[in-house]
Amino acid sequence: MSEIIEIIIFGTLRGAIFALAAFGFSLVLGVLGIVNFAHGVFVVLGALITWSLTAQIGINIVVASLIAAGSMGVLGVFIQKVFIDRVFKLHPLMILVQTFGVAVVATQLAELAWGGGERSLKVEFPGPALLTIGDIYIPTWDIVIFVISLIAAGVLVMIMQMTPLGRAVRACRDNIDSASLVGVDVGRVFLITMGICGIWSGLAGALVITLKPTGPYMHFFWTLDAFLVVVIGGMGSISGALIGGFLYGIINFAAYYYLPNQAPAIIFATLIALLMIRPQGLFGLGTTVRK
Amino acid sequence: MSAAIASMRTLIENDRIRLALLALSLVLVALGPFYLSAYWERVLIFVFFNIALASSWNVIGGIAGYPSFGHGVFFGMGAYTCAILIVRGGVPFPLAILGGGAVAGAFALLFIPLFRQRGFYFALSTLAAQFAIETVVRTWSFTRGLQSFDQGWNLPDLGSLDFFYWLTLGLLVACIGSIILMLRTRVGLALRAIHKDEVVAASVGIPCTRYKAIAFVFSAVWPGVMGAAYAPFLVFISSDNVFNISITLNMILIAIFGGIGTIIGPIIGGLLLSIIDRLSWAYLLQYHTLIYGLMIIAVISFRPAGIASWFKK
Amino acid sequence: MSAILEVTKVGKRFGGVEAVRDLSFSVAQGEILGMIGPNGAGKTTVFNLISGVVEPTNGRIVFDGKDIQGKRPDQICTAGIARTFQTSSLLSGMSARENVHVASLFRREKGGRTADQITDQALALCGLTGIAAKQTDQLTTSEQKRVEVARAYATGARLIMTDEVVAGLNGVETDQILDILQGINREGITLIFVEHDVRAVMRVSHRLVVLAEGTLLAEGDPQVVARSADVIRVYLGSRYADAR
Repeated sequence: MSEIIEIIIFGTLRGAIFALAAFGFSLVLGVLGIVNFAHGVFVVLGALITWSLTAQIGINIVVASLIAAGSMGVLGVFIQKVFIDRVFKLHPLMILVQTFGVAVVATQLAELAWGGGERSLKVEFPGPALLTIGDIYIPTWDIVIFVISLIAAGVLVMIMQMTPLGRAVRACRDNIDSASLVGVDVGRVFLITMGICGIWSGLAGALVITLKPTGPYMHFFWTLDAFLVVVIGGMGSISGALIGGFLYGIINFAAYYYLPNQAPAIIFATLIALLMIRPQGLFGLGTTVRK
Repeated sequence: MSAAIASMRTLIENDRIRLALLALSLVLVALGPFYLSAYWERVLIFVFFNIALASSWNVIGGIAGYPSFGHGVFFGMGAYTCAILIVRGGVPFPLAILGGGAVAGAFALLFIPLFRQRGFYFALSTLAAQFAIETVVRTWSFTRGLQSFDQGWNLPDLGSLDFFYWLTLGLLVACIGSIILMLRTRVGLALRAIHKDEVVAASVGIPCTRYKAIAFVFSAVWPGVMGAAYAPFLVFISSDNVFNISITLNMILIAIFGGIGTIIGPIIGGLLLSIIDRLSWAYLLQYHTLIYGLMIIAVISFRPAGIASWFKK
Repeated sequence: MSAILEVTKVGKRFGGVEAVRDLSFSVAQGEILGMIGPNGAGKTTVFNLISGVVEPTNGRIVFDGKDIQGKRPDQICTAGIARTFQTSSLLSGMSARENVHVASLFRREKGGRTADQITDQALALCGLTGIAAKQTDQLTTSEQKRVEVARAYATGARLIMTDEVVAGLNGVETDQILDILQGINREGITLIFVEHDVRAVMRVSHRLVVLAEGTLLAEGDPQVVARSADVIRVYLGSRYADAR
């Protein structure tokens, strides 16, 4: 019994990071209706930039994380403006392959800069290293990250609900044609959406590198994880991605806990089953990309 | 000058001359082992594999419009089937090749439920299937996964380099020939209609699922056959080198690079990409993958119809 | 005359929206049934239900004595129902002839003819022989509409449903396509004719059904139905109906 509780707790804690890395992916899928294969690049570059700023230059980690997140926002806008926008009207396959090319190039450049190996960052944290709940020990840092992820989600929800910018993004998500009819500058919304995607995913990366070693080659796994989270939670909604992240965290943790060797098979089989049964996600808005 | 170009064009557009040119270049390629060095012979064998794989993918991904991201699985299955048949069963090589195609084709039938998805979702489902299957192969003792002393299969020496050159060239010609023949039947028109608009295709009486299944199985059988031929050529195979996701991605990239949905596209794409790949591998090793990625971005961003579209205008 | 198509208490919900509810009507063998109704009345949904593009939430649809609800679109086409689409649905990248030829190729009962013969006849019937080689994006609206009709005809359907086939055409073009449809009807093919242009509907229909808000408002002789107060009210607003 306590084993199951442990899996749920650790899975949920890990899930918050998955959710944070998937918010942008979900928004982009909902608003632009595309899958960005370079999504994971935001996460790994966010992580590596944070590492460089902190470990090499000695900048405070909070500032470093924000710089990393911001620069990923710029990268998102850049990718949208220079690449995706050009082929947006073509078959979605083209965007998949094009963004895959972007991911390959970005990874190669990152390997030139940081090398192909993994880096990790240890954070000195005041206070006890472990918290106990009953007889379960939980690293305090995991909880800190969990809380930061929730705050980041909250901020994003507030931006989406309360600002004119958020309203424009939501209008495009719900119906792009009517949004452009009522005067929303769709092209600009696309840029902003990719920027937001970059910032939040970059922040996820900054947190990830304090938890586990991260290397450039890992971008593809992060893209897949984000996709899984969105498939579980439904695209376009922040709360859906959050719930999807928690559930995926638990599934992921359980699969690796019980059957470490077969875990990918189990996770991907679950994904296919979900796509077959509920392509709009378990908690989706009921819309699906149909291209 | 322009008159000369025009007459050149009519010359090329003339079917008989076209066929003659094609036959001539085929003969030149077929005679390769007599004048090529072993290095270039190997390069061309890889080119043949690449073209055959991309052409097969093109049937489902380019012509029917269902971008499968799990097609490498069928190549891996062909390779494993061949290896297991030869090593465990002592089956003759030609039969093992047929076996590779048959197993890949039969397995492709299991993918039919995925055809309820389209676009990104289909791409993702097939990608997930690839990873799931790869994991099983990697960890199942029947396929010699997870055994530290023997992760994979060693095959006996089945032929010289020349033999494999002619074998893969023969299979490539058979593959492309069968695609051309299939597209000339009503299957071709059905697949094009499905690609353009499935609701309309169904409304004029095309049983879409059946034709998608035909296209998918067809485009899985050839990678299975090619995989079966690949295993003894490579001598040692494991999940790392025949189930790798890069095989799937290469099929897609080559088809798109050359010109998706056309017969000539994968041929041009396979030739150019393989050669660029080799050259940058030889001279710019450190930047090899980077160059590869840049070319993909460049072609899709500026020439989405592929290199083949240059020759049309 | 016996009914070739019977729609009985058919309903369709999309989420919370009831696009069609409790709809019943029948089409007699060999007639031209006009179907009118204001925007959002559910006309296109009715076509989608009959042609199998969407499945009814409840109710029965019987064609030629057989239940067809829940069947796939291609099965329904093979059973003998073809349709045109409101927005041009011609397959791009193909010629006019290829668009029609797709239908002939997949036709079951070819009556001893080849697919090519069927295609050529359908093109000739719709006055398209001269432009058969044109690509779809080079066709005029009128030509596109006629290719749609030719394609539906080439399937060998015994019931053809046309969805706004004269929308956007001028008078001459409208007359031309109405003549084609009447010619098709004279071969014994039943037609359901959905249109906004009431004059065109009145000209060719033997009988008229009026839909409003997803259900049947009126049914009967075109002249009589068109004058009924209910129909005028949904079309022109209650002021006009009372003023009469």
